[in-house]
Amino acid sequence: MIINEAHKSNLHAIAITEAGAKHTAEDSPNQDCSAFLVEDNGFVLSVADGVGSCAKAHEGSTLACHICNRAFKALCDGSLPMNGDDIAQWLVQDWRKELSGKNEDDYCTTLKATFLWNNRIILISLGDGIGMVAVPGQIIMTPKNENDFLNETVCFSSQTNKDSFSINEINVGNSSFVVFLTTDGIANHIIDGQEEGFIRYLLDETASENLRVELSDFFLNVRALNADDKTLGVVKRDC
Amino acid sequence: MGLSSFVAKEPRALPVFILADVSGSMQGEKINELNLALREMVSTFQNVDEIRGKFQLCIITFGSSAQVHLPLTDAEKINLTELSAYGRTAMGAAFDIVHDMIEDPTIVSHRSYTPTIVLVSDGMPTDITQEIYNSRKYDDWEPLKKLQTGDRTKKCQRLALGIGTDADEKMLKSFVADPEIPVIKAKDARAISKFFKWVTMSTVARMSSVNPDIVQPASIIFDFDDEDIVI
Repeated sequence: MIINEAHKSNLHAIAITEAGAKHTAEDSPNQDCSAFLVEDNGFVLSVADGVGSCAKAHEGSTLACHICNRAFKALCDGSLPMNGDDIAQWLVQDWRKELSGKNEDDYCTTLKATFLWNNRIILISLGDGIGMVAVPGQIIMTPKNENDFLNETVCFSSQTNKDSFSINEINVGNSSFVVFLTTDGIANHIIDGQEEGFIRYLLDETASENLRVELSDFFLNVRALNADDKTLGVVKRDC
Repeated sequence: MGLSSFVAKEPRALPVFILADVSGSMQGEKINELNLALREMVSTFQNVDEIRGKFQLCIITFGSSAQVHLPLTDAEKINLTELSAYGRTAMGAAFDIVHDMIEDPTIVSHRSYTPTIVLVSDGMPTDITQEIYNSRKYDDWEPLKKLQTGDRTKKCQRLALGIGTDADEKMLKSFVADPEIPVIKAKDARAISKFFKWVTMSTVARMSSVNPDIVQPASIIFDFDDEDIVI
């Protein structure tokens, strides 16, 4: 289990990832990836799950998180507007540019990403897994039903365009908030119908200083339940 | 309390729906073989080790009407009762029932793996319109169209066995709607148990794989009789 953590101002970011039992047994790399960048005025958090049948799934998920970090830097320097459509378009273009001359379909990956800038959070989703953002009195979540019985998840591929993403936005103002992103290795084991309860618990009942312990304990409880790679990322602001 | 109280420790389910023809023509050897095959399938599901999930089985029969003979039930809790054959072939009504069950997330949970729907029949549906009967354009048949276009049902794996010369090959192919999945059209009842062994083996193999949502039935390795046709 690999844990990355960062604090900046009143933002606390943490990501936990681990290769699943199947890949561990094969001595194959973890095909999930997570990344975050935290600045005084904002952050980006992303998790990605490389599609197992693709030759370069591991590289694909790593690339997806990397381009999210680059998009955040573009938000910071003003070269990318803070709106969902522009961010999605930017991600697709950067993806294509990075894989120019290569077979994009070797690098297929899902992606969940959140960007905070100017007191707004944009939640972007491509494929399975869960993404949730909660502020007092409001929760936004990535669509659920489209993930049912996926034998071919929606993912970054040669067919992807900006309309492939689901995009949600929420104004966080100066209030507390929490972001939770996870790949399907974890998402499939949150009790059906209790996702809102889960994110509310993170927001209201879990102090930032206890995040690592709570998330680690949760992660370990899910670990034995399937052979998938598992990754989660959380950013919390307490006000 | 803790975040761990939100962990679904219940294993994920792989639901299997059997649509069983119990019309009058299934009387005798066919229904006996079907009952035996179903018992063997349940026994296998109850005794498989080292899988990270659980099997669920539902049996919907169609004769003069369609009924849920066994509601969707965890394999370990199944107590099978025998099917008996009588009446016509209300296959469309069975399609409607299985569609409504699969589209209902209180019956087939969001956490479930992709369901498999297995159709076993020795004849043509009798609850179709004259127009469909004449044209054999089953893709226009409303109950089958619903299965093929439902948000969840369209993603399901569909397998089919036609028994005897009266089974409608075109309808079976429309039901399966996947050129990579063979339709078995067997000469007589003896193929029923072989077919179900194949279905069971494919299903167990799925559950043992890294991603049971990927539906790729195992190759047909059983020796069907010479007269059996694999389409």
